Order: sequence, then structure tokens, then C-alpha cells
Amino acid sequence: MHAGSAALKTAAMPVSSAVIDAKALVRCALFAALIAALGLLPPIPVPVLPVPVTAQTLGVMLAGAVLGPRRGALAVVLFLGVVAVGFPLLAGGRGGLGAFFAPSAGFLLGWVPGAFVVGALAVGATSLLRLIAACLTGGIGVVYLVGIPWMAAVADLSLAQASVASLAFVPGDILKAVLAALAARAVHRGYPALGA
Amino acid sequence: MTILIDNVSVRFGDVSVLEGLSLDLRERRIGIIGNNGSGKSTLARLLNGLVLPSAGRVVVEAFDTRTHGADVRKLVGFVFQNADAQIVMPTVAEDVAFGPKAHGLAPQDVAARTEKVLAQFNLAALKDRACFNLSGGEKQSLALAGVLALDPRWVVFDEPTTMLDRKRAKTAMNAITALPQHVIVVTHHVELLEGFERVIVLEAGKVVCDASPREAIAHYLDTYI
Amino acid sequence: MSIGVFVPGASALHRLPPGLKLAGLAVYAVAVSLTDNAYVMAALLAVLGAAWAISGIGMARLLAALKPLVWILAALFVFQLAVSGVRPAMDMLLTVGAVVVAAALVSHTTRTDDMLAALKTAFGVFAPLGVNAQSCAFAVVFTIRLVPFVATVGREAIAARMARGASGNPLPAVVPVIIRLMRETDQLAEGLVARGFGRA
Repeated sequence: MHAGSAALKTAAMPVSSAVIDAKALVRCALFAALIAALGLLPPIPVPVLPVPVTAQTLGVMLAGAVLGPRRGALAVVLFLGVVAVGFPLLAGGRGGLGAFFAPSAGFLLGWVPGAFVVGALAVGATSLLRLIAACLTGGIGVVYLVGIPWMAAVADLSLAQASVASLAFVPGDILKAVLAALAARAVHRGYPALGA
Repeated sequence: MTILIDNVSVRFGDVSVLEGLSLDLRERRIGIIGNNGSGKSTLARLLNGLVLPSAGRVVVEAFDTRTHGADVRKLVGFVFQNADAQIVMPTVAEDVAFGPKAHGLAPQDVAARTEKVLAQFNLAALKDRACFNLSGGEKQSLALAGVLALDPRWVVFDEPTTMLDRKRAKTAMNAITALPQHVIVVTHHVELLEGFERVIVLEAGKVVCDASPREAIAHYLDTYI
Repeated sequence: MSIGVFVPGASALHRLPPGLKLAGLAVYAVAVSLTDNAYVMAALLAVLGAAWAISGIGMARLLAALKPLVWILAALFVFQLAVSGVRPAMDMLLTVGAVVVAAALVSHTTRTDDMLAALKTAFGVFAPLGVNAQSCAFAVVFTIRLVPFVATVGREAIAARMARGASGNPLPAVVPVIIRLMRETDQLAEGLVARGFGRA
């Protein structure tokens, strides 16, 4: 029997651990860059709310679903670190430590555990439903769990008010979770996992 | 100066890429030819430990690739088919310096080697240029320069001419044959291997011919054309 | 696939230690986003203008740094204009513009090698916790380097889809884009190891 796909071959072969480490590192950087690049797509601003709906959360869910919990969360940390230093990579060209003092900053910080949970729930998932559930739980549940109390604290709202205000994002986020799950499944099928 | 491939198999699951390969590579100019999927690219990656054998061993001088990857990669430079894939730093001089630095050379040695190699490849004037803006030919020179900055004893080329037109392929091949290092070229452009000392033909993961270029190329062409 | 952002030069800005430039950028970004005072803002913009003049970086390169943001900024500007009025809309433009230009000045006047060295020193603080400073520094540099690459591949994929008559909706292009990006970055990783990265 002989190998057909070159890509399958290189990834599934007994490659050096140095290669696996390097691939992991570069993939984290790639998904951090992907989250940044998704910020260049035009956002849909929602009236009243200080948080525009962006495609960046799609990147966060993809990072978790494709890279797994640890590396997915690392990719998000990397992205936020580069933003914190001042590179204007948040949607709308925002960047710098200032972004972490805004009422919406909790949603950004929530991305880190969010990506982790998406990854943890998506490990080994082959059914689309399970992947969607993973993206919904991590990408919406966990992110909101951090974002809403933060917004309430910074913007001087009650938890209930902050929750209601965040409801406006739920439809968009559900759509993104479904897209992330679809894309992650296709990527898993079309490209081998690291160092298998 | 030997690379020893000792009864090596590379497989994943029940798929075998290379099977029971034993080769003793000591010639200065060695060609490896074979069709797509013959395992030649995997064989190239075995030589510097990017791919490790599932069974058997690969030994470069005294270093087993499994246990001494870093030492092996210092001895065996690797030039990839796609120059873009191995240009890792944003500017020309930084990229050439990357390898020597990664191998832990002292800063003044890094600088000296970088300067020497840049001059050797006519890249000195471009040293602060963005690699991204280089022409295809300049990128290839840079890729080779980055490898030679490590001062390797072998240079392995993985399909160095596949992405080039005939004229550029000829130029690239002239540069390769002019190298003082031991050279191992993996290719399916058989005409490029005429002046070589030894040519190995791979088919479905096995050596089917190991001889002089004339004989090996004739065997390859007889089988496939 | 690399993007060179460094512009060679010998200005005072080029010679500043990279760690200082990064810290300065962080402070500047905070100051610009937090200030409500028109005079303070004017002073901050003057500082930026002076830094630009010192750097010797041409106008064309600065505009190139702002270009990817034109559409998104236009959309936000119109939205702010409609919802909050002229003043907040202008504020938003100035703030974002100033941070983008400041970041561009830092990346244009700092060699990647120097940036790496500064980051390595910074991450070295966490070495006792088992953090590999070298890997962290490279991860940061690769992230900055890969952003324009990812954007280019994405744009190409969208253009290719439109050329075949598909709509401008970019989302169906996501999967082939990700697979292509992963393939190319895997090659890059192999290239890194072949040249001595990660001493294993």
C-alpha cells in the first residue's frame, strides 16, 4: 500500500520532536494572526452598545477547536499580548493597554478561557453537533461569564442590565459558533493533526 | 565523511513510505530520483533528522539522527523546494544570521559568517532589504546562503528545480555543482544529474537502481517513458 | 511569505533600545485612548509628529500602514457620526490613527533581531516558571509577521471566489484559507528546525 497525499505523509510520519514543537509554535502564532486578520473584516456596530460585533470571536473559537485547549488558549494570549504592546490589531484598529480598560475588555479576557473550553470540549469530537456545542459553551458561555460581570463593574450597570445589553450579540455569536464548528470539522478532515 | 542508512523503514499505520533501506552515502555528488510518492522526499528528510526512522537508524558521522538531531543538522544543511518556506526573518541579513545564531555561535562569529556568505552570493547590497520583495532568483540565493552560513559538510536539496523554468533551473544547478560541500540532490529532472558520481533510483519506497548516472538514468527512463 | 517592516535608517528613533520603544508605545496607546482633553490630545499628536519627522520614514509607508484599516474605520466613523455626533466620531478617528501610526513607527524603526532580543529579556523574567523565553519571543515576532500574510491569503481567496462568480461573502473561503495557511506555516516550521531552531 502506498501513500497518496503528501500532506498526510509528512504529518503522520515519525517526525523529530523539534519539528513538532516548531509546528506547534508557528501554528499558535498563525491563529493569533488569524484572529488579527479577521478584525480587518468590517464590523457590524450595534446601536447603544460600546462593543461592535466582529469576526474575531470566530477566530477565537477556531483556535480552540483546531489547536486544542492549551494551544488554542496560548494563541489567544499571544494575540492579546501583541495587542497590549500597542499593535492595533483589535477590530476597528484598536490596540494598546487602553483596550484592556474599556467596558468591553472582559469579553477580550474571556477569550482565553473561552478558547480553552472550546478546545477541551472539541477534543476528539467528530460529530458536528458536539463541535457546535463546544463552540457555544466556550465561545459564548465562558466568554460572557467573564465579559458580563466586567462590563457591569466598569460601566456601573447591574448584572441584569449588563446581561440584557449583551443579548444583542447572541444571535451573531451563535452564527459564528456554527461557522467555527463547520470550519473546524472541515479542517480536521482536510488536514492532519499535529505529530499524529 | 559518511551518512549511513542502516536497514531503515518509515511507516505510519499500515502505510509504508520507505522499506528496509540500507545505503552508505560517501560520494561528493549524489542524486536521488523517483516519481512522486516514491519516498524520495522522505529519504531527504531522514538525512538531517527532520523525519526519524520507524525502524533502523540513520547515522551522520558519529551522530544518530534520533538522539543527536541538533548536531546532525549542523552537519547536514537542507535546502527546501520552496525558498519562501525557509526564509524565516524579515530582512536579508537577519535571515542569513538566523541559523548561526540558532546554533549558538558567538555574536562576532555570526556577524563574520553572515558577511562572508552575503558577499559570496552577491547579496551584500541587499542586506537590509525585505525578503518579501526579493525576486524569485534572489530568494533562492538567500535560501542557499542561509544554509551555507551554518558551514555544513553536506547540503541536501529537495527538488531544487521543480518550481523553476529551464533557464533558471540550469543556473541553480550550476550553483549547486560549484559547491565545495558534499551534495545530495533529490529531483525528477534527471538531465541535471549528468556530472554526478552516483544516482539512486527509488520506487515505492525501495531502491531499484543504484549506479552511475548514465546507468541509473537509463533505468529510470526505460521504466517510466 | 515574510513581510519586512523594518526600514533601515540611522535616526535617533532607530537607535533607541527596542524595549524602551515597546514600553513607550504601550504608554502612548493608553494616554491617547484615555485622554478627553483637546490640548493633551494635541500635545500627544505633536509628539507623534516629531517622532515621525525624526524617524525619516516616508509618508507613503505611513499611509500603507493605515490602508488596511480604511474600510473598517470608514464604517465605524459613519456609525459614530450617526449615533454620537461629529466630535466623538473625530475622536475615534484621531485615537485609532495615532495608535496605528505610533505602532508603525516602532515596527519600522526596529530590527526584528533587536525586537527578539528585547522580548527574550522580558520573557526571561518568567524563566523560573518554566517559560521558554526564546520560544515566546519567536511566537510574538511570528504573530506580527504573519498578520499581513494571513490578510493577503484571505484577500486572494475572496478574489478567487468572486472571479468564479461567487458572492463577496468571505466565510465559505475560510476552510481552504486555513488549510493553505497551515500547510505553509508547517513548511516554515520545518525550515526553522532545519536551520537549528529548537535544540532537540
